[in-house]
Amino acid sequence: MDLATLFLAKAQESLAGADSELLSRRFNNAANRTYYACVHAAISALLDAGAATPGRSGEWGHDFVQARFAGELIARRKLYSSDLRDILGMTMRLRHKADYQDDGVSEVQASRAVRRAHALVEAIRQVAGGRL
Amino acid sequence: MSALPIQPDDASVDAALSELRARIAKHYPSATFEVGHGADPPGTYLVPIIDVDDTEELFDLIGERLLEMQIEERLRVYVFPIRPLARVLADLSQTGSSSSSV
Repeated sequence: MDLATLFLAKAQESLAGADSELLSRRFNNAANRTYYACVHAAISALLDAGAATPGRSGEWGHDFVQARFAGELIARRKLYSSDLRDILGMTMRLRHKADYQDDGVSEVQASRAVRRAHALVEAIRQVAGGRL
Repeated sequence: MSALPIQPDDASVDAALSELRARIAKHYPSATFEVGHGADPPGTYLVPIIDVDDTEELFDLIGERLLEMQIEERLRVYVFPIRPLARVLADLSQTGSSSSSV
């Protein structure tokens, strides 16, 4: 298994968690898992496209992943729909609401985020073909 | 991972915050704002307080410009809108009443 496949597997695990939390009406938890599903999926896409390599620490910052995914893979290479340009920003905002704010994530917001995360993971699988 | 090489000066961040505030205030005149630094992710946070059902609607106004700032201008500026606490509590009470009546 290569690193891109490993991160896609993490994304799918997080997304399955988000689905489950959504079904249980735990919308804050769903938002939290959705964000990590998107980040891991984007890292997988970056690795698969040769657009980023992990540092020795193995950490991936939000701003770096967002800039490379939206800037390089969507804007420059046009590998993914521009509809996905803000998905990391949107899911990060919802995670913030879920984790740090007194307000909570609504059913509508959680459902929309989970739906878009599914679209992201599916798009990455399609672009990768059989590689991932 | 490669770190983003540019560390913008405070003037660029201040200008970005002013621009975002102006765009938001034009559409939501009763909005109030807080600004602070945060660690998750690291950067400057603009926190508009707006009385709406869904705070994500704000990004129909500023979403594209904010992405430009973050990706092309490499500014670590984030917008985290919140609703007034009274509105949050009112919605929670309503949800609580409808849950208990089911």
